[in-house]
Amino acid sequence: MNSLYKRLAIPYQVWLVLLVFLPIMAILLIAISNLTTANFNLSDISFQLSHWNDLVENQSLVDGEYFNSYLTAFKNSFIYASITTLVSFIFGYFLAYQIKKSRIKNKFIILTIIILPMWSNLILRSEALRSVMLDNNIFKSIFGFDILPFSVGTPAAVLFGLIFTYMPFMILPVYTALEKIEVNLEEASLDLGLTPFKTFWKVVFPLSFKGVVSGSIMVFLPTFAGFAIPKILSNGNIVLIGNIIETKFTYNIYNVGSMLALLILILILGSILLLTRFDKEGETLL
Amino acid sequence: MKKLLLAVTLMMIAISAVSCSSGPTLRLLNWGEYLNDDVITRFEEEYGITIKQTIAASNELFYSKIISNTTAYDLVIPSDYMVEKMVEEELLLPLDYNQIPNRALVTYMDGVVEIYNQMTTTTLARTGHTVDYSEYAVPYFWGTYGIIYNNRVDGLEEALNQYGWEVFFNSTDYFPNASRAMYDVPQDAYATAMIYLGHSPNEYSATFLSDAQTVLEGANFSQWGDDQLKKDVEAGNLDMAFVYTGDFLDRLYIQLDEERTIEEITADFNIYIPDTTIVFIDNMVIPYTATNLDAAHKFINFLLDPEIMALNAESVGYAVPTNEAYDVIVSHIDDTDSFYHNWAYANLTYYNKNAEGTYYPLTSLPSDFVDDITSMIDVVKTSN
Repeated sequence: MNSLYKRLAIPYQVWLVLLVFLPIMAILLIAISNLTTANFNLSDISFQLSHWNDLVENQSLVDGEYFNSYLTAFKNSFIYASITTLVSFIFGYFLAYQIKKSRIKNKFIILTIIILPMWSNLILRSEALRSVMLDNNIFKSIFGFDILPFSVGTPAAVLFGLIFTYMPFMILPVYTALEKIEVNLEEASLDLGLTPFKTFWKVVFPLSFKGVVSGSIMVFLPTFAGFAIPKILSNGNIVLIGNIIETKFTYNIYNVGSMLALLILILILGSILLLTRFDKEGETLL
Repeated sequence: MKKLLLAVTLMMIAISAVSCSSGPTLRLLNWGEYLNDDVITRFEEEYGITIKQTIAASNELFYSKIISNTTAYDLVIPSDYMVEKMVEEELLLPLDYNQIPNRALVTYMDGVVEIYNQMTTTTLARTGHTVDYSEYAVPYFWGTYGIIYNNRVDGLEEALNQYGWEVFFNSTDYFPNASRAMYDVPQDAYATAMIYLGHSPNEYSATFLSDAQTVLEGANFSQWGDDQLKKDVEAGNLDMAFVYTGDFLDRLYIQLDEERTIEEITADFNIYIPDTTIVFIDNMVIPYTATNLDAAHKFINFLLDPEIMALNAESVGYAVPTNEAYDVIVSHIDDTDSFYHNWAYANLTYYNKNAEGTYYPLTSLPSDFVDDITSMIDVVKTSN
């Protein structure tokens, strides 16, 4: 039986090697050589870093100021991902806490409702969101007022879309972490004289912190590297680094696209290393 | 287990039933929804050749499917610049016009002839070779790009007709409050700016690039999109957008189906096609992988028949390339059936063969130029 289990683990390992490991190696190779996927010929490969100059040279004069679109895009990604993570944390944490505290027997139902939006396609949801944020939209024509106070193309619209999409990724790990906390610990803290407020901050929150870290990573990374939501909700006006990479690959500029993708990979590796500092056993990643 | 076996057996039967149709076949590599089913039926009945279509969504995919040679396609329908690239890389077979007698019975529209000449010009400039593209390609559909506009904005229509591109790009002097949008394809954006500046959109230099950047920044685009643009203008959420003329006709036909009249619809939104604009042309070509040359030539010949070409255009919103097929379409102008009448009207109004214009198909630029253009567009987007 054991050997059967072993064999059942093989397909996904093969998958990982073929569709994750090898492509990452290809990205690395294309980022530092003259290869392109249109001309992926290992026999005439040569080391080439000239496109890395793009990172610093890709700037142009706009209104008398030098302007680097990659840098701006990285900055945008960082700002949007940070705000999304922070807001998801504040609202997501207390929602998870409230669910844990509530006396409802079937908490599974509530969690199901939270992930309900994910049952429909991400692009479809974003397009739907966009269509109610337009100046003339179906909601306005039926009820006479706007359901959402944001208009398409503004940073607020993009942030709303990102938070709306990624908040469940914060709620679920935080809720799991909260559920693991023994009730006795809280009771002991209250018995020994701490106020409920102090109990929360000194007992509950520190014990659930692993959930917060893992939730933050699950919100931050897809927001940082994603391109679909900002593209749809900003009318193509707000450019994140993911949008730049998408454009590069669409128009067959593989070396620059791979270079930028590699930078993001390094960033992800960095944040996973950061995570292991908080969490030596790697529990939150499970 | 028995059920599983049964399912597998059924699937095998289904697969073999699909793959073992008898008789000669034509393997066609095409765009989605780009061939009228009635045309397929008539072709199969007439010649006893089965058409097997494979759908791909971009010229680059056409190219890689031919290069990889996993399926031997007999006929492909790529656009202008991809035909240039395929001829350059010797992926296409010259056509045998002895097998295409219908070619002598029809004439290409002036616009089509001009596009073919432009392709020859850009190829000559790039490679130093003179190529007559009619040796390899027969046009399938073509179309212009234009500016779809919100006709509920007072005076916009008159201004566009009088000043053209100026109204679209000069947001300081013309309609500063109007919202403008560009197709989210870097080369298209660059090309329109070049046309506005009075250059050929296929020329390239660092100076042109920075001039184009200034123009695009001056337009102050509020949106960079694709399929959304036409709907946003239609709903009054956007005032001007650069799109395919076919995009506009798509929305026009949908509204006509909802029983609105042409006058009502064009009072809401309409399209302005500049005298100098970019165009695309899709062409029937035979790749070197073709195994059934006979069927491929028969299909090209069949499509050149004006009646068939018009029939094909019934389900596709682009312009037919021959004068004869165009005449068939516009002869329906007095038809009592509103579909045929509107169809003829739309072709007369928006694809009129007598319309005078300068049409530029976009050539395939070297990849470092494309890189520079996409970077420039990213700067325009991020700097506002």
